[in-house]
Formats: sequence, C-alpha cells, structure tokens
Amino acid sequence: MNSHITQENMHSESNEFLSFFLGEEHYAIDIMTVKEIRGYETVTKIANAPSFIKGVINLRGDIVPIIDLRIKFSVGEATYTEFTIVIMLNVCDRIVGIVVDGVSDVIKLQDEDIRPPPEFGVAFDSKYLLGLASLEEHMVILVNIDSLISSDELGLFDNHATTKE
Amino acid sequence: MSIDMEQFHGVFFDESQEHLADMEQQLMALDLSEPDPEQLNSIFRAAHSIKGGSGIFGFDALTGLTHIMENLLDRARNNTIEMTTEIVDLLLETTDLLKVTLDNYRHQAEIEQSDIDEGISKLNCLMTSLDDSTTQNSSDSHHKGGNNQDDTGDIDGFGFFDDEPSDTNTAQIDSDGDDEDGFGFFEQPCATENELGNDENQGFGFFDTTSSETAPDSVAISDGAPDAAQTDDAGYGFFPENEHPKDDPSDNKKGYGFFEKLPAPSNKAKKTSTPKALKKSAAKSSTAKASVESSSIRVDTGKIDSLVNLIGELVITQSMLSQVSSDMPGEPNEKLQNAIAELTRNTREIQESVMSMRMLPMHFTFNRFPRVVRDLSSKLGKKVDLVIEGGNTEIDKGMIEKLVDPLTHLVRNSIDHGIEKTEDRLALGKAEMGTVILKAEQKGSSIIISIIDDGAGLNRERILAKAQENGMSVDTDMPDSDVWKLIFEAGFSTAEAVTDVSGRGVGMDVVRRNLEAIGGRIEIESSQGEGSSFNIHLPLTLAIVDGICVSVASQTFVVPLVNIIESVQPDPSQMKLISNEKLLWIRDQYWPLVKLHQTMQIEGAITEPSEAIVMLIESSNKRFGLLVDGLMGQQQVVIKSLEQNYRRVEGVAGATIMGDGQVALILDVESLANSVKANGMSKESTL
Repeated sequence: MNSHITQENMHSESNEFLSFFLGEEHYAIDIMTVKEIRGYETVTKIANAPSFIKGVINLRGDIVPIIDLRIKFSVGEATYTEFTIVIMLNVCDRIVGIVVDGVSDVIKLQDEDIRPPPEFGVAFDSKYLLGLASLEEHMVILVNIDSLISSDELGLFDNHATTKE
Repeated sequence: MSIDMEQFHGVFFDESQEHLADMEQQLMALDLSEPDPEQLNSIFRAAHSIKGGSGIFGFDALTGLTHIMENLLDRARNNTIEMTTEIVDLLLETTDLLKVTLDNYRHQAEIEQSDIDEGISKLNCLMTSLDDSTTQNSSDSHHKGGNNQDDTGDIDGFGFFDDEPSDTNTAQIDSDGDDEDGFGFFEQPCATENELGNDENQGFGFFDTTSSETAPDSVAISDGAPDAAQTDDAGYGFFPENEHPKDDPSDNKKGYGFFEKLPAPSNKAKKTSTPKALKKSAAKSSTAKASVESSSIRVDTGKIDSLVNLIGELVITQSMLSQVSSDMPGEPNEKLQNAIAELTRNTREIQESVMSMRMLPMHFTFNRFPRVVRDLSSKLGKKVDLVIEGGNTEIDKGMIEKLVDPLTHLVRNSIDHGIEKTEDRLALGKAEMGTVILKAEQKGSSIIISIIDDGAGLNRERILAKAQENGMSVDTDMPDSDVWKLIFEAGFSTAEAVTDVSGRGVGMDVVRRNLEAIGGRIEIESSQGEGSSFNIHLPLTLAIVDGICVSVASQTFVVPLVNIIESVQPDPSQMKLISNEKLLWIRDQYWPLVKLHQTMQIEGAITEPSEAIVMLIESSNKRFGLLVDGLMGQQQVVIKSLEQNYRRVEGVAGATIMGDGQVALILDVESLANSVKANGMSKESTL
C-alpha cells in the first residue's frame, strides 16, 4: 500500500534520478531518496546477517546499515577500493547506505520516457522496478528503492517494524 | 494550514495535560479547613487555561466542562462557597474526565458526549445545592442589619471586583434610598473603574465613568434616580450624574469637589482597598508564576537526542584530533596539544550539560501517587499515609515514563497486600495509619527507588506453598532472598482472593520485565509483620552504559559492567568436557562457555579458552562464561539504537561509537544466553 503510493508520487512529481553503475549495468534511483554520497569505509560486521548486508557504520552518530547492491543483484564484483561509492538513502524514515561501483549522473526523465519492463525473462523482480529508460545508447534500470529497501527479502527491517510504519 | 494547527494542538495537549496534573496535585494538597487562596487561584487558572485553549481549537466538550468547573472554582476562590471533601472529590472526578476527553481529542477518538453531559450536570447539581446553602450562609455571616437586598448587593458588589458587572444590582440599589445603599452605589462604580483599568485617582470621578461608560445600560439608573432623590436628602448625589453624562475630565474635577462633601468617600476608600489589595496579591503571584514559566522552555526530545548525538560526534572528532596530534613531531605540536586539551575539557562539559537536559526530577512520576493512594485506600477501606522522599532526584526522561507502570503496580501491591486492615493493625499494636514511603536517591552511578511499607511483609510459607502448587522446584531451606524472587515468576499470586486491585498474578513478572527493559533490577527486603521494601536499582541514564570493551579478532564489543562477575584466563585444568562441549570449573561451579566469535561469526579469533579470556557473566537467571580474545578496558559508552535504521539483532542490545569513529556492538547478555541455550550448548536448566 505504502510503496504503491510512493510509486505514484514518483511518477507524478519527481522525474529526476541519480544513475549509478553496478558492474556494467546502469541503474537509477529517485533522487529525492538520496541523502548523500560517501566513500566506502570500514564496517562493523553483524552476526547472522545476509551476505549483502556488509555491516553498520557510524554516520554522524547514527548507526547505519550498509547493503552491497552488487552482491544482492549478483552483478559486478564486490571489491572495495578507494573509488567504491556508498549512496546514503533516506527511505521509510530510515537511513541506509548502498554500495555501488560508481555514480554517473543525474538524469531527467518524463513519464513517457519510462518503459515498462518485459513481463518475463528478467531476473530482477519487477516489483522493485519502476521501469526501464533509454539514455542515448544505454538502458537505465529505474529501481523502486523504497520497496526494495523495505522488502522482507532484504530482511533489513523487523517485520513488526515494517507493519508499524 | 492544517499542519500548523496540528502543531498548536500538540502544544495545547501537552500544556493541558500539565495543567490537569497540576490541578489534581493542588486539589490533593488543598487544606480544606483553611484553603490557601493561592492554591485555589492556581487551580482556577489551570481550568481557565484549558478552557481558553480548548475554546480556540473548538474542543467543545472540554470547553463546556471546564467552564462549569471554572465557575465553581471561581466561587471557591472568592470564598462564596466553602471547599468540602465532596467538592474536591467531584473536581478530581472531573479532572479524570477531562484527562480522558483530552486523550480522546489527542487521538482523534470519539468523544463520550454522555460522559461529558453527566460531568456537567453533576457539577451543576453541586453548584445549585451550594447556591442554596450559600444564600443561607451569607445572610448569616454578612448580614449587618440590612434587608435581604442589601445582602445581594453586598455579594454582588464583591463579585463585581472579579469582572462581573450586574445591572440588576445597580437598579436595586438605586431604587432603594437609605444610606447603606448610597454606600453600595459608590462601591460599584469603583469596581467598574477597576475593571476598566483606570488609575486610582480617577476613582473619585467614578460617576462620570459610570454614566458615560455604561450609558446604554444605565437607563434604569437614571430612571431610578429621581425616585431616590425624592426620598433621600442626599439626593444631590444623583443629579450630577444626570447633568454630566458626557463630562470631560476637567468637569470631572468639579464633580469630584462636589462629592467631597459626602461622608461616603472614606467609606469607599476603605472598601476599595480590600479588593485592590486582593487584586495586587493575585497579580503578584501570577507574575511569580510567569517568571517560573519563562525560565524553562518546552523542547522536543527528538531535538535533544540529536544534540546528544552531535555532541557524541564532537567528542569522537576531538579524540581523533588528539590522536593525530600525538603523532605529530616538533614545536607546533605542543601548541596544538594545548589547544586540544582545552577542547577536550570544553567538549566534556558540553556533553555533561547536554546529558543533563534529558534529566527530570522524580517528582514527575511521584506526583501522581498521592492520588493513587487516596483512591485505593478509600476503596479498600484502609488508612494509608504516603510519604514521598527525594522527589528532586533527577532521572533520564526516557526512563521516567517507563517507570510509571511498575511503580504504580508496586504501590498498589503495597497497599493491597502489604498494609493490613485498620482493625488488624490496631490488634497488632501498630499505628492505625499505615505508611507507604516512596523514595528516590542517587547512589554512585545508579538511582535507587524504594517502595517501603510498614505492612505485614511477604509471607514466606505462602509463597513457597504457592510455588510448589505451581510446580516450581523449590527448597524449603531456600534463603529469604531467593524466596522473594519467586513472586516475579509469571502467573504467581499469593493474594487470597482476586480483587480488582490485584491478585491475578500478571503483575510482578511484568514489573520485572519493564524494569529490565530500562536496565534496572529489583530487590526485595521483607520481614514478617514489619513490612517490606522493594528497591529498584536503575542506571543514571538510559543513554550511557558502563561497559568493558573486549576484542574478538578485529572486532570490538562492549559488555555491560553490571553483568560481569570477573574475568579470568582459565588454566587448562579448569576446562572440562561434556559431550565435546567445554565447561569451565571455577568458583565451585561449572560454567557453560559462550564463544563470542562463534555466536557473532567472526573469523580469526582465539578458540582455545586457556589462551583467551573468559568473562564470568551473570544475567537475571543465568550464569555463563564468555570467551573473548582480550580485554581493552573499561569505558562509558553512549548507547545508540541499532533498530532505528536496521533491525534487532540477537545477542546485541545496541551499538556505540568508539573513539576512532568505529561502531562497536553492545552485548545483550540475556539474549546471548538464550541463543546459546537454543543451540544446545548450555546445560543450564530452564527457569
């Protein structure tokens, strides 16, 4: 319900996206969810967490979990260098960081630029997709970051906490 | 716009809640034999503020109820009615109703209009019944040989000073011609002048004020005047009024001279001085109140929390700086180090004062208990005196709210189970009045809150019998302290009969759990026939925990100090094996081992206990040894929530930020023990 509303909002109100790379692939998220962009720093590991949750870091006093999207989507190689980027997001009243290979640009998209993803043959679960867009030669995958972050699949939130929100 | 209104609503609700709490407290404290006018005023003001606020926001149910309440209180403070227990009870009842209504408005729930109507009609009934008796009373006490009309005039004149002009009254006096009425007449315009805020000197010109200000209403006066003039030789008092309805101040002076001949002014001066003085004292007290209010501001706790966070960051940055500076060679370093030392001191002071912003005196919790005790003791027919000590002890705001329920339960318990019935007390040679002491004090780095009663004390035999009945393994030779702990088990009740106060056995285990949730523990002392004492130990603040930092491979963890018995490097001979799991034999006891690297899935840690460190840990009902690589020292750490952005993690109570900016996890020994038990590594019996 909640994610549905945000999805609609995205279509109608916001058409600016931050695009980033995971390996060779070009992804983009709603720019309004982006809090800041940082370099990768040492994380504190957390027991019993899935492999794509690297751990937590201290973001000016907040304990923030870091998710490596490359591991989650199985694209690219999860290496950590001085160029590895963490995008801090404000999603569902929470702060989370996602690890990506690089940030490329802010792109403006009209509603008509966004194509629906094919109904099958895509490994990526379409409920986390807003759509696909073409940018010159590239295909840009628009991720519905709200529903991805709050999904049970990611296990980032306690179930009761998610229902509460 | 609507969002703006919501903001104001929040403030109104908060304030009204405070007003209600204040009102309740003042009502409780009111000495009925000799009510303190200041207290009555303060109660009145509280009701008035709620009425005003609710009126603005259109919370009609509140407005209606407080209006009647205000009327009643107004008369109480004007001494036209006498405060009785009956009135206080009804007022307390009304504050309860107001609280419920306020909550309903706050949560946008349905308003129980029938309850409101009932509340209003109850107040109205009381007022009417008081009216009857008041008229009676006043004619007894105020009567000075005049007729009934005089009395009404007198009372109304009195009420007049509190902003209630009455035309009928004026007319009555006009039509009456004797001296006393003339005097009454003088008194009233004075009041009008008071009301209008004119300065005192002009009081002599009051006729002018009356006639010009109340001109539309004063037809009756003018009409009545000639009649009066005919019957009274002092009739000249009325003529100027007719002659100078629109006099300017210079004419007024003339008027003043004219009236000087009257004997009345002296009378009048005496009369006016009383209300004036009253007014002044009221004004003084309200300025006193205002200054108290202006010395504090209402701040969203979220803002303070973020300030605490930022200060924490500042402390970390500062320690980073000092680390960097200590690596720097040469002369500039010395200056830098001096500056950093200064910075260190400043940041520490800032941190302390920011922390203290979260602290509130225990009064905030304790103040509700006189009411609880009053209600409960009258319900149970016991005589109980509540003594509150150490209300000024400060405690973290986060804890104060969570303390209310456990404390309420314990106080109710003390009265219901502890304090004996009056006749039993007398038979035992105790004072008729039972005493419950609610005490808070700070001891070192913890706060101790005690609920002490001089009642019957816990019944050891009955607790043991009950425990056996419930199938718990008990030993009749158990020390008292272990017996008392039994009452914290779920479903445990020693009450002979289930009352609506207690006895369902859902209480004490919840009390303990609530207290543990805020890092506290509870101890019981009790002796048969002499009373019992429940002592709650709480950390000074929720936000800081004393802990020992331990290392496991490259990771750091914090173990709360309260749970640590000691740390040892075990001798290989102390290690025993049970189905291939190691047990530690120390202090005449076998300790199951929890390997932190295993539960926290850390690679590269020391696995051999005799090469590592074992911390002996005691949680509320389990003891175990925690295997870690090494100790890094004791430290106070600021607890950060892991759940805020992530989820709960088994075995972890929260996180903190170390001096190097890294995150360290704070271990939750309770759940750590549970997770181990689930893995079948522990042979600890389940409690």
